Amino acid sequence: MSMQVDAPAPPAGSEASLQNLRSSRLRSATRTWWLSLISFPFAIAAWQMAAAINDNKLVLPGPWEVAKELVSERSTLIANLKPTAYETVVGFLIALAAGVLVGVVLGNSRFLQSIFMPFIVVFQLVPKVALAPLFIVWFGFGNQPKILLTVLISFFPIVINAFAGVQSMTSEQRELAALLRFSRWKTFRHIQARVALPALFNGLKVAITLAVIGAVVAEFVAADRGLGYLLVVTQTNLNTPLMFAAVVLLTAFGAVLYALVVLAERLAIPWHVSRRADR
Amino acid sequence: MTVNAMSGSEAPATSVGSAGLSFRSVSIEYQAQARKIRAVADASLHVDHGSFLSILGPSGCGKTSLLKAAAGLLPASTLGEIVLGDVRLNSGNARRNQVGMVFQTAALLDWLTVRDNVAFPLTTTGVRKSTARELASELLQQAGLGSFADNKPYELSGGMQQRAAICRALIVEPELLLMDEPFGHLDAITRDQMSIMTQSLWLRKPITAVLVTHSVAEAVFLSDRVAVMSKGPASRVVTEVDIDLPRPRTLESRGSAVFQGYVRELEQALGLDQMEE
Repeated sequence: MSMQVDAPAPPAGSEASLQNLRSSRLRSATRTWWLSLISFPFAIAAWQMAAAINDNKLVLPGPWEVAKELVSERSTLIANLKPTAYETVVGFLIALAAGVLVGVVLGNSRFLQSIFMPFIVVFQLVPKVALAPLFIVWFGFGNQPKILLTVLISFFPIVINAFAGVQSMTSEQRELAALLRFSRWKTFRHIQARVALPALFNGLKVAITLAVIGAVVAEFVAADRGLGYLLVVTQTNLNTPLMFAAVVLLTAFGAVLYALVVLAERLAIPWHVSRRADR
Repeated sequence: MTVNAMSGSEAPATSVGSAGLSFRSVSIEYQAQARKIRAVADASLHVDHGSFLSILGPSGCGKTSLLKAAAGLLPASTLGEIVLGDVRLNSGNARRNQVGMVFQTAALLDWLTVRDNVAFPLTTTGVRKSTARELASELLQQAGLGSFADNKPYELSGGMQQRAAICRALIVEPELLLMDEPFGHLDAITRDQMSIMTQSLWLRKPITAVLVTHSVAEAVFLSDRVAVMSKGPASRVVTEVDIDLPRPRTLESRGSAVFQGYVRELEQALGLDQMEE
């Protein structure tokens, strides 16, 4: 960073200094975003080198090989991305609705909390991936068992963070609500729902990455389409380049979903995000 | 603050006879694990309608508890009576907006602008947004925060945030203003500014006010009466001193012999003269 001497610094806390602070923070953010891309060329170069040394595309196809596969097999890939994307998104949205509902209710009731919270924690300890075969038995080969697994796997981080979020009201915020004679609902609407958002979004970021895993793992077990299914098929056919292409596509898909959550966070709680930026 | 845009139907309920704020043998008990802790024992105190009371006392003496009880926030743990006019405050009987309170931290809501924070008690209780915002702007102007109305609270300094919090307490036109060490976290210079600003806001419309503070000078500067509490637990009011100094008081007036006399008297009551601070 170069030192800039443009104008005498206005006194701290004055309006001008606030404006400066905000715009300089914005400037440094826009100046540095590309830094996060630096690591990628190195990783790809390392991959290329490893592939060149190995020189067996059935074991380790190089990035160029995989890129060619992504283009030539795009119709297969896209056709299999669609069901996986559907299961992921629907599963995540159901988990979101259920997790927020349960988290908010339990977070506001000692009674329900002591009944259900231990159950939720114990249930989280069940390896849900191990339940995938059971869900196939119960629900057959359609997309319900995949959605169910996605819901179950992404529910926990949402419910735990929604729960923590609604409990993060400060005692003074509670007293303010009491002083203004707020009902529970009013307190929730005007204070608690906002206070809970930062924690909730942390949960959503974890949950969205898990949702992709849930859908893919469920497809491993029994499916006739989807990227998880494609991975199993390419393994059987020893079509490693296509397998890599499917993995790359899954990663890109997960990255897009994650970015959407981050975008939603920026829109929903700019007051929190902007403050975090200077920490 | 001559704004009467409050819901209108509510006429001032203070009966002239019993005006003022009275604490009548107030005890406050907390349930801590299995045993009861008596924070305040049998505290009695009176302040006239429209005058400024400060409560001084060592840390942990239950000053804050007393204030919260007056705000009706501790209905279950309060024994005795805290009465404003003819309303029993400690059982939470106060009308909404009869009592305004400023907390130890500003407790402003980060997602609202400073103006909307000040307007919050009105906008959430059915007052038109435009009306509430107009009142908020007016108050912020008086508190010297006019140009920060559109900022977010976390963009303001601690002193400015606490000023906004005072505006938020005043916007409902309370009959009683409670302040719980609102300047405790601020540096000495900012505290002085806050004292001056609080005095000038209060002088515009002197309502009954109670300030809990650690600072003897602040108490003398702002108050018509200062009460001193004993060390907790089971603390009570040991002294009440009437401060007879002309208003508006200035920072220079703190150097006067009379002012210093009050300070010494209160420090004695606190037992500060026996310790080196």
